[in-house]
Amino acid sequence: MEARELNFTVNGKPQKIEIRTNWTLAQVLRDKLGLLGTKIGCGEGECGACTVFMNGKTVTSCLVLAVQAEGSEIITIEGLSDGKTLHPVQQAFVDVGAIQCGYCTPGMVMSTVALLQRHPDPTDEQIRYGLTGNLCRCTGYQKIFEAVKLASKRIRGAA
Amino acid sequence: MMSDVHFEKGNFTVVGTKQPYVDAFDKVTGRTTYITDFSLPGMLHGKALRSPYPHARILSIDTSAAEKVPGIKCVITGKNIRQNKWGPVTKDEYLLAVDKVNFVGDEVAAVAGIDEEACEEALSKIKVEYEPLPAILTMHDAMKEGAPVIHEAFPRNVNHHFDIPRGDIESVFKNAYLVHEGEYETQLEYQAYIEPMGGVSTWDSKGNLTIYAGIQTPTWSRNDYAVALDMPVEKIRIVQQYFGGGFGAKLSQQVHPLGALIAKYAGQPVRFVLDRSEDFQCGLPRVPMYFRIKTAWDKNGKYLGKYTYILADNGAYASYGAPIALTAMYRIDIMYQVPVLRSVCDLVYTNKVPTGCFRGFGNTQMHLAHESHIDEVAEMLGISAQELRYRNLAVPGYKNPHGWKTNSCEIRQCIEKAVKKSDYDNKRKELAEENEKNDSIKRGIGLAGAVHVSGNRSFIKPFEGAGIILRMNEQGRVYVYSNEPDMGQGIRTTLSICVADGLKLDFDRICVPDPDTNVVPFGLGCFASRGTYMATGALHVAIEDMKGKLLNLASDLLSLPKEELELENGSVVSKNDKSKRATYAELAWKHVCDFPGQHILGIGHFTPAGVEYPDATKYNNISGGYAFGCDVAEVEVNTNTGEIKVSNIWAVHDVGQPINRLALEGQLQGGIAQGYGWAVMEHLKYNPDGKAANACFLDYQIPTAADIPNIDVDFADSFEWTTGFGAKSIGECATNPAAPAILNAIYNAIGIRFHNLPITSEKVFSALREKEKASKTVE
Repeated sequence: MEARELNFTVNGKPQKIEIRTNWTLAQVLRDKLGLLGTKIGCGEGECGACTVFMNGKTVTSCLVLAVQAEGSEIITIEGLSDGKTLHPVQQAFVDVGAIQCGYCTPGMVMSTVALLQRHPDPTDEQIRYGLTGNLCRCTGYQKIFEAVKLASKRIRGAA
Repeated sequence: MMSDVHFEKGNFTVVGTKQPYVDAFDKVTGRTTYITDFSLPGMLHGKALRSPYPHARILSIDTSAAEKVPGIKCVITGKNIRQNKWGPVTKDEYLLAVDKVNFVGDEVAAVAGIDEEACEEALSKIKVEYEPLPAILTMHDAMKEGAPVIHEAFPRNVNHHFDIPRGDIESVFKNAYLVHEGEYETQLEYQAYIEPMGGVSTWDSKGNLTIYAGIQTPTWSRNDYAVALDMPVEKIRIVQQYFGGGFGAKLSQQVHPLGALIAKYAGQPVRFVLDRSEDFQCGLPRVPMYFRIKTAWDKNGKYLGKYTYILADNGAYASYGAPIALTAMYRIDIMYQVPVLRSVCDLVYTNKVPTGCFRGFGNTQMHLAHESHIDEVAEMLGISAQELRYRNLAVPGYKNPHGWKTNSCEIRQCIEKAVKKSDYDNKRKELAEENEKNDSIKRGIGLAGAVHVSGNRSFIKPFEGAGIILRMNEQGRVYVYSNEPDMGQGIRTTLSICVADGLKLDFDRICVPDPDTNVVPFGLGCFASRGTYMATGALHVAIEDMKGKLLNLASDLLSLPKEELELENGSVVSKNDKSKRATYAELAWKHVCDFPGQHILGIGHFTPAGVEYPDATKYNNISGGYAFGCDVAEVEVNTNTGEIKVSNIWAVHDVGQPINRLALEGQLQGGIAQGYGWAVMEHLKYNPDGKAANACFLDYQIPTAADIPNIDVDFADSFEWTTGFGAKSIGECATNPAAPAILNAIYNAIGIRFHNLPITSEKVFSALREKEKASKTVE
């Protein structure tokens, strides 16, 4: 497979790496940049565990070819906070127990951040449909809904 | 043995509160690494070639072209390796097929290479010549005259036939006021953990094998893997990693020893992880079962007797099929007081994916059948669903015809509380009135009871229980060594809470390392809902042991009598003068100096009281902590489209003393979500060619955030007196009542009783049309 250079920004840092043209964005993030927080659950864009931000929009990185990320800005779970103080969404997930095995969590958190950008004070319906692309088999979603609401309150300064 | 044990509820300060999971921070920042993230220096990748036929003879395998693919280290087949047939109960499966394949997905050859691409290319160049054989694709065909034989050792395709009679059931039927018979059938359900199965294996030159994996039974599975790999058990070490969900599927599993086998012939570490489609085709989904249940009642609703026949589909290999079938046959008999019982079961092979453990272990299937059946009887007798149950429920100290005995048993409280929380009685009336007025949307409410074990004394004759080693290092930090692994259910936090409470220690000074079989005490792991009950039972003893040692050390150091001392915030202090204190760090340092190098240890072991291995007739109490529950479901059915919306589920469960309410709520909500998915959407289907029809998340739907009902959970006031912390386990009981509660609610809404899962909209739509037709014909 043909090799080429990829220039993009990941979590605010410019990156210049050698890739093969058939590699996915998820592969590059994980295997070349060591950002293992982006999980692969299905490789088919169905489970949402690999959700990252690309130019401000969420994508399932297992379905994005790395070459499509040329010149883009990527944010992964590792870039959401400084790793000491959590992003309000991360903190809410921890506080209400919205995490069990945790394998879906990075993707779920990224989708929640996107959801709250679109709907800062979401209705139940908006929460449910905003997270349909992220499968969780452990929690039954109830505590995830709780986390979204708590994060929304905290971000809006209502809690 | 130890049947007079009776713990009183202690003054818990941390136990019973809501505590965030101790590992949540690393998970939410993406820092936690799982099996799929794990690598070793010099590691290769492994891939398996799988059978495209459900049943075929292997005539020849040509690997010569595959071996020449650049980057390929080795290519192995069943004929050029050392292996044994293995299986946790019946040894019927090779790691790589030798003469015959028995399902689509059966492993035929395997390769190791520098990356997955090289492996895929090599697999595509392996030439296998098959002679297809007739296949059995439904369990109902397995025992038919002239059916193809899947395993020579089982000429009728019956892996196990069980018959458990307790009393003369035929005479009970003769004399009963009401005899009711019903048939029910359940389908293949895939566990659908979000991380697929896999492991990384490495060997040293002395033949010692280490597998890095996520296994629910790390120590015990070594026995199975040793058989498969034809090697001594003592040379296998399992090092647990974080893993993305198990739900029963990740006990002994082909993927681990096969990965080890590939690594052995590659001579390098090998990562062998299934892709999602393989995981669908080769996991160990829920055993499908057909039930015929016949029950006898007196006119006051007293439950006189039950006969059950079960046909269970084990797929191509047995795995845990036999104990699962047994569980389906009689586990429910500790929920109701039924004096006369008989249960018969045929567990059969078919040419489909091998089936195995899935949360509920056969009992979930039986709950679907039995809790539907009880509602049918209630209607026939004109007694409410809850009242019929109240008249027959087990009570504390009840001993059933199998010799099982309840300790704490708050099933009645669970039902009463769930009925009240859901406003069940009023809704039965109100919804019926509303349904009269509304043609297109019909609403209904239904309930179901549940029981499960906390640990099942049926697996290993000489062993039941758990051991814990607590180690306080020289800084006063406490390590908890347990054989009960965390797969997301939160036992890491549960054990931390018990230590925080018992030793009065901050969470950041408590560490629960993942089990490494070279380090942790012997134990069975997390299945049969044994984790919380067994491990906290042993941990209570270990904490007392360590506490005694800390008090003795402090008594020496402070020159105060032990009786005057107590634990407080990481120190031993005088009750009379709080300024007289010794921190754990001081005591721990003194200990390693006085006894050079030795850390303070707390040793604990736990055997459930009054529990014994079943005899040849399957008699004897198998669990010390039967857990109970009740779910109430509310549904809406659109009669124009057949669409079912499960709007609400209320659940109240008896788990004894809650340890971590946060995790318990999460476990219960998650268990209900799986029961809900099983009831109305999930079905791993097979095409006539024996291939799975929907082996991907696009086609096999599990509940999403948009589908899931609102779930309200609560717990009964209860304390399981056989253990110090009083806790029973939640894992499987959480799933058991959801599906039958939904079915009973659907019946309440539209007056149609479904006996086959899943209840899809299509099924509802056609049933409604048939009902319409029938009523028109009558008119």
